[in-house]
Amino acid sequence: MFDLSTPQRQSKKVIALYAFKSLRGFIFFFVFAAFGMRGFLEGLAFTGLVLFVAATSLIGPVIQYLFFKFHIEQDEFILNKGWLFKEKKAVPLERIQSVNLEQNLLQRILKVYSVQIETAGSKEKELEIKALDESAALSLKQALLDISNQREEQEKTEVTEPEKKTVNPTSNEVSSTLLKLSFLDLFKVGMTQNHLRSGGVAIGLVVGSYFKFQDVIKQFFGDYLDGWEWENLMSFASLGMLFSFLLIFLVFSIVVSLITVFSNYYGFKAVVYQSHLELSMGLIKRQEIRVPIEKIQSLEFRTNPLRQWLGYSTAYIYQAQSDANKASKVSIPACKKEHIKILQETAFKDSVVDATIDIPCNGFSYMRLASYIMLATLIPTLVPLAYFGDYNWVVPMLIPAVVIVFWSYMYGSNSGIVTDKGFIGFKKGWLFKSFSISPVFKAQAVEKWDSIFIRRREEMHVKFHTASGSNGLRYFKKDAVNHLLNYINNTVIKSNRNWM
Amino acid sequence: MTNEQILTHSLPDIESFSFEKHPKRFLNKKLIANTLYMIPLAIAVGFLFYNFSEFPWLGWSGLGLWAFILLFSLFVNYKEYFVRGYTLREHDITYRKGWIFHHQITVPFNRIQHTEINHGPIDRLFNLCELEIYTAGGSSSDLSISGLDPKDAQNLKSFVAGKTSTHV
Repeated sequence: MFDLSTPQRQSKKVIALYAFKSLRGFIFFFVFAAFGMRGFLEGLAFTGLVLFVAATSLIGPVIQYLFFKFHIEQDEFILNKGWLFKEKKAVPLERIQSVNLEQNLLQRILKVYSVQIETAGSKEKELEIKALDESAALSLKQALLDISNQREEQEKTEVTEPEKKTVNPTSNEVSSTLLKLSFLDLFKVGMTQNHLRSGGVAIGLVVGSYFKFQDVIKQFFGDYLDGWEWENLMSFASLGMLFSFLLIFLVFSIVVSLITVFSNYYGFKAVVYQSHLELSMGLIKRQEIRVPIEKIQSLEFRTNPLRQWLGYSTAYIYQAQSDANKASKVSIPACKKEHIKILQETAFKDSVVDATIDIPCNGFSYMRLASYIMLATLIPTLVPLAYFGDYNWVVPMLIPAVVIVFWSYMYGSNSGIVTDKGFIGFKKGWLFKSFSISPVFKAQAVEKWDSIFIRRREEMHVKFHTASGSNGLRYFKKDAVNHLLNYINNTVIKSNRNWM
Repeated sequence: MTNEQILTHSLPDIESFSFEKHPKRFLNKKLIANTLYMIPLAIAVGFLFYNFSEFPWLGWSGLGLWAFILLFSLFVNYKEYFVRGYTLREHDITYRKGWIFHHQITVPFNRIQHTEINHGPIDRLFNLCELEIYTAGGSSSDLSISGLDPKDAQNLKSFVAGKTSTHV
């Protein structure tokens, strides 16, 4: 058994991890050195340099391993690291928010886990222990969470709800599987991704890495590339070519979407326990995420036309977060209606699935804003075109403008706020719909704002702040906004439930 | 539990009455600081006159633009002073600011994590300070009330601190 009362080291395999990391850093150096200094540093000096680098990248990890120690002392988790620059971190156990296990490819090969410890509200990056054997990782996770859970239970029973004493900490064992994704589910999710985005990301990656290795590539392929210019390409361009490019782009994007979905969500499983949700997923980089149910601030369900047709939406779980830690958004793909219901009930003890909008936005106001923006951009471009008698471009420029204005109208008319069963929900969007919901008592602040342009129309915008961020919609009736904000504010004041 | 309603739509007059204004020094500070910020741009305009002396209209239109921006920002700052203010109720604090974009944000005391008073060098010159009210999580719901009298700020801080400690 893993004894945490005395300082412990990581698994020895971490040396390999550290070494790999530092070697990876030096590979670029070697590549550039080999090409840049060819003929200049031949012989002894170069060999010496290589030996020196190799030695430091081998000795460094050993030192790192030897001086990386952690243990639990009284109520704190203590981590010591560093040899020349010593660093000591102490985290009070009750501040630990979640403990996640992760495995990337190398860690999987070495059969070790990385343990990440997230604390609430700290601006720093969470603590990470790079490599522990499975049993050690699990017992560390158990030890950290047991103590922090127990403390919370105790506090709860002592301070607020004395009748809840019957809650048995071991009832954590009771679990039910919320969702398990099959190969077909994943395929469907992959096919209904936003392909435009995945294609764009992939192209960005290709272009980015081209610039990174520009020099190296030029060394090898310079002769071929010299004759290649964008202008040449353009002069060949024809409509047929454009279409085939679009087709290639589409196929490429779909392939990228499928690959990302499979690598992220392969073997996805979500299990509901008494006090937390446990998610595990990933093909190459295996992730195990534990979300304490009390810390969930809001849930968001997004869908697009294709997914709606399949009855799927993606759920996002937002936890209380600090600025630096944006990773506290966890997503569950391919949620059907029943999963949405279970998820809401698990997180908030109640659910609103097919809610109707109580406070609608004004679609015309959205349309007005879009038209102003479109006019402001169109007039300066259209007037010179008309002046020079070049009317060919007028229609291609007008069509997107009209589409955008129409889209804004539809967006506004389909958006609004839901207030039902002690929830506040934001329904947004047309075709690409999203619905985010949190219990009113989890609010931290309410905000309303307007501008001199809409003041005389008696319209206002709303912002709802929780510990996981803000949500808002625009163009509501002023009276409705005042009423809503008072309701939220009074609910928060009256509530003495733990909100984060 | 009492939390008398002040901010209803039917009582706009009371709403404007009950908000406490910042000291007049704050307006002075804003106007002076605003003018100071415009100095680099004035230098740029001078540069236009000096370097493009064969195109005097360039300099003049630059000067006109500069004067317009200065007057406009002074005007906005002036208007803004009169709609900026805070109000305390039994269980929450409300702050509002902005003229072109007017924001009003309410934070209940039982959601406040901690408070902080900041004095900047310019603030000290005008005997002003800034009260920061922090909530949990991201910074989106944090309140920063700038341009307070140090004494008022201290009072506010201890009032808010007293309220939060009774709730948590």
